[in-house]
Parts: sequence; structure tokens; C-alpha cells
Amino acid sequence: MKLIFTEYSIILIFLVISFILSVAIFSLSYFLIPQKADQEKVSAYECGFNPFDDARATFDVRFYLVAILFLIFDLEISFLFPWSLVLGNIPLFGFWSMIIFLFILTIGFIYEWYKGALEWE
Amino acid sequence: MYNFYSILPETYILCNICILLMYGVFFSTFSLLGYPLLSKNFNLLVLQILIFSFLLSFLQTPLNLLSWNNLLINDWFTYYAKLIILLATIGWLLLSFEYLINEKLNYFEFWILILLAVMAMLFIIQAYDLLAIYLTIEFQSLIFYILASIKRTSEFSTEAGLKYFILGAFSSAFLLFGSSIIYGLTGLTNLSDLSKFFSGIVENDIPFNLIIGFIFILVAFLFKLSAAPFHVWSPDVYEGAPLSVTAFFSILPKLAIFGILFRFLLFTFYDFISHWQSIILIVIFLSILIGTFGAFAQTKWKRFLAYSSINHIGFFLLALLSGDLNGISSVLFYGIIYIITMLGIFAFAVNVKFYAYPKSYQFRYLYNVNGLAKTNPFLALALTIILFSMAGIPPMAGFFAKVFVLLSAVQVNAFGISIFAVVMSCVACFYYIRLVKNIYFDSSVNWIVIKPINKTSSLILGLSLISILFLFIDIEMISIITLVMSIPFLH
Repeated sequence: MKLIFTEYSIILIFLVISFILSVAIFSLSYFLIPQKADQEKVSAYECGFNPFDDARATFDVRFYLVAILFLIFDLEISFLFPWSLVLGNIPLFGFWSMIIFLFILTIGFIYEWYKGALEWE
Repeated sequence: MYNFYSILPETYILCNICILLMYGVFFSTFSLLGYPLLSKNFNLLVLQILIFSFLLSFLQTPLNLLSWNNLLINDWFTYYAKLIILLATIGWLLLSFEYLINEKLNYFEFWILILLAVMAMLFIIQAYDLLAIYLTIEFQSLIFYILASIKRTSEFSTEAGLKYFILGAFSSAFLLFGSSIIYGLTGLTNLSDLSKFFSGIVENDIPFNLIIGFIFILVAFLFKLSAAPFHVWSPDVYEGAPLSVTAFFSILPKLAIFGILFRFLLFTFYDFISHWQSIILIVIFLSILIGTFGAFAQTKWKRFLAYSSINHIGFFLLALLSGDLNGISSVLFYGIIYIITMLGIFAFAVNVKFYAYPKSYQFRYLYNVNGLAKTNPFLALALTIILFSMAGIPPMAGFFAKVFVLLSAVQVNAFGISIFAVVMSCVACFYYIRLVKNIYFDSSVNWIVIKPINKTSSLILGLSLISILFLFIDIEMISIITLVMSIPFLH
């Protein structure tokens, strides 16, 4: 079991160069620029006007809920893909296994429907 | 068809979950009926479902079979372990009747989650493959994360759930990483294939990569058991979760994870025994030390019970050092006594409320039991007996459990750790007896007025008390079950 894998050397070079490049871009722009902070310069930008309201609002949990539901049903679809390709070759047991899987997910869907998770006010 | 026979109780519970979920969501959002609260209804329905599934698994013929493409196993151990888990859940359910109503945890989803957790634990016991272990443990853990934070109006509960989730997800990642290392090195994931692969391996010649993979998986299991030094989550999570859920966490998952730990350590990696014995030794030492000294400084009931359960895990693992039939039988005996004791003490902690006008309060602090003997002498006697059993004082059942564990540890000449365990047991006796002193000889400023416990949880308290007090008359009743349960792990 060798200690140094020479066939991965090119990946190491890639890592080092990308690290140096990003550090250089970031640090050069931070250290070489004269920074004179002014009241007007650091205020929030709203098309030249004075800002109407604070830009921070409470995070609406509906966005998170939509993301989680998308994840679940997207994974369900990704399980449907290989099954649909081999459906002609697997016996009847294979068909009913997928039907049971879809049935359980449908129950979850009905649950979230009636709980109001699909309401977007 | 035998594939379905092996998971028949779980299939029954799954069908019931689907039906109950539809029933619950249709009726609880039904405006014509006034959005009824279904929680109490669900409570009784879940009790019925659990009793039927207990009957179903009891009346199955116990087969020895591998099912589902060698992912699941059924043998004597799983048969009896399923029965014990279902009985323990029924006991837990009976004692948490009133608590959820008083705490206004009215979600019917709570009961669906409990049923799912029971199904997950029944699957954990049967897992026989590294993938099946990961799937079932993750299934159970996800449900536990939700249960720990079920009380949405309490910041405590949310924090407990968050801590449990982050640490638990990390430990599941460790489990996967260890499994992938072992798979990458051997090309096998089935536990019996791995045990055949490792048979005849020479001790000094074990490749180090395998040990690293093994250690990652072992760390994940020890985390789930809250063994030290991976115990840090359990006091915070036990304290933040509502008391019913804490009772659920204390009583049930330990037996399931121990089932997997037995198969993993004593069946698959039995040839690595010289390596994992030293690791388990360190874990035992730290668990007993931290469990004993951690409980000294506690002033709240839930954290006290968390540290005491870390202490008990140390004793569980002590019997595992020997790795033979006696050892496993002692662990299972200790496990059954532990479940009965925890049922008893949670029947006390969950339901006893003291009444200080105008509200009634839960027992939160340890000094709340001062002067209990004057108010309710029989309840004080019950608590005393349960505390004595946890301390390991004869003739309570806890003593016999500890005796069997120490006997099987001494068989492998593990004298140092046994003496250490006995000494720490004496030290732990101190704070148990301090509680007894508080009950009998201390008095608070005002005499406490206790609301009477409801009938079902007093039933559980009574049953637990009788088992603990009178087990010494016929120990064979339980030890024969544990002997039969440990036969499948013989070589």
C-alpha cells in the first residue's frame, strides 16, 4: 500500500492553482483599494431613492415547505424512471411493488393537501 | 410468500398507519363537525392496534428464516424482542394517557409517529445487512427527531429536537462511512457473508482499514445508545422533550439498538474480539464514570434520569465483554429489568402533579419530592423501591440484573472493570439514597398536595413495582426467555 499516489498529481495541481487564484482575487481587491467609508456610500441601494423599508423580512416558511415537498415528489419520479423502463420484463410482483410505493406516497400527498400545505396565500 | 410472513406485524401496523392518517386528516379539518380534536380517540385506537399486533406476532410460528433478499432475519431473538418491544410500548402508552391531554399536545400526528417508530424498531431488530441497518436506524431516528420537538410552543423542545437532529444525522453519516469502507474493502454487505469472510483471520494480520471501518460503525451505534464519550446529546434532549417523549426515548430504542449491536459485534466481527474488547472497555469505564458523577450535580428529574441511563448503558456493555452465551443472556435480562424499572419511574414522574393554587405543576426539580412520605406514604414507598432497584440493592430485581452482568464479566477475567463498576455502584447508591432521604426525612416549606394519579398509569406503576419486588422468587421466569433469545448468537 503506497503512500503517494502519483497519478492524482494533476488534481493536486488543479486544487493548488484554484486556491491561489481565488485567494488572490479576493485579497488583492480587499487590500489594495483605498477605503474611505461615507454615510451615503454604505447605505442600502434602492435605485437612487431613500430606502422605503427595511430589506429584511421574516423568512416565510412556505418556501421551505415547497422545497421539501418538491424533494419528496422529485425522488418519487426518479424512482419511477427505471421501473418504467423494465416494466415489460419484471413479473407481476414488480408492478404491484411500485403500486404500493405510489399508494403510500399518495396518502402523504392527501395528508398535506388537507392540512393546507398547498395553499399559497 | 414467506417474505411477507416475516414482516406480518409490521405490514399490519403500516396498513393501520395509512388508514389512521386518512381518518385523522379528513376529520380534523372537517369544518362541519367543528374541527374535532382526535387525540384521545387516536390514543385508544393506537392501543388497540398495538394489542392486536402483539397478538399477531405472539401467535406467529417462530421461524428461522432470511427474507427479502437476505436483508432481514427472523429467529428466536427477533421473535421475543418484538414481543418485548410491543409490550413496552403498550405500557408506555398506558402511562402517557393523561399527560398529553394536560400538556395540550393535541396533534393526532403524534400517535401516527409513535406507530411509525414502533414499526421502525421492529424492523431494526430484524436487520441483517449493512444497508438494512442504515435504513432502519435512519427511519427510527428521523421519527425521534420529530418527536423530540413535537411541542411547538416550547423553545426547550425545539432546541432539543435541533440538537438531536444535528448530532444524530452526523452519527448516521458515520454509520454510512464505515459501511462504505467495509464494502469497499470486502465487497460484501450482508452480515453473515462478512462473518464467513472474517472467519479464520489471524489476529495480528487484520488490515488496519477494516478496523477503521468497523470503528466508524461502532461509534455510530454507541452514539445511538448514548454511551460515553458519545453521550453529550442525551441529557439535553431528554430534558427538552416533553415527558412522555422522554419516557419513549428511555424505554424503547435501547433494546432495538442492542439487537443490532449483538449481531454486529458477536456474529459478524467476532474474530475482531481482541480489538473491540479494549474499545468497549474504555467506553464502559467512561460511561460508568460519567453516569455516576454526572448525576451527582443534577437538580432536575429528567437530566438525572438521563445520566442514570448512561450509567445503565455502562453495565449493559460490561456483560458484552465476554461475548458468549452467558454475556448476552445477562445483557437481555438487564434490559428487561431496565425496561420495567423505567416504566415504573416514568409512571411516577409523568403523572404525579402537585397542586399549588391555582395550577398544578409537574415534578421538575429533585427537591420537589421532599416530604412525599407525609402526603402519600404508599407512593413514597413505591418510589423508594424503584430507586433501590436502580441502585442495585437486594432483593429488588436490579440487584440480580447487576449480579448476572458482573458474573459474566468476571468470567473473562475482567476484574479491574468489575471492581470499578461495583465501587461506582456504591457511589451511585449515595444519590439514590439521598433521594429516599429527601422523600422520608425532609420537608418543604408547605406540605405538597398531590393530585391522584389516573388509573392506567397506576396500573403500570403497580405492575412494575410487583415485578421488581418479587422477581427474586422466580428469576427463571425471565432468565429462560433471555436464554432462548441469546441462542441465535452462538457460533
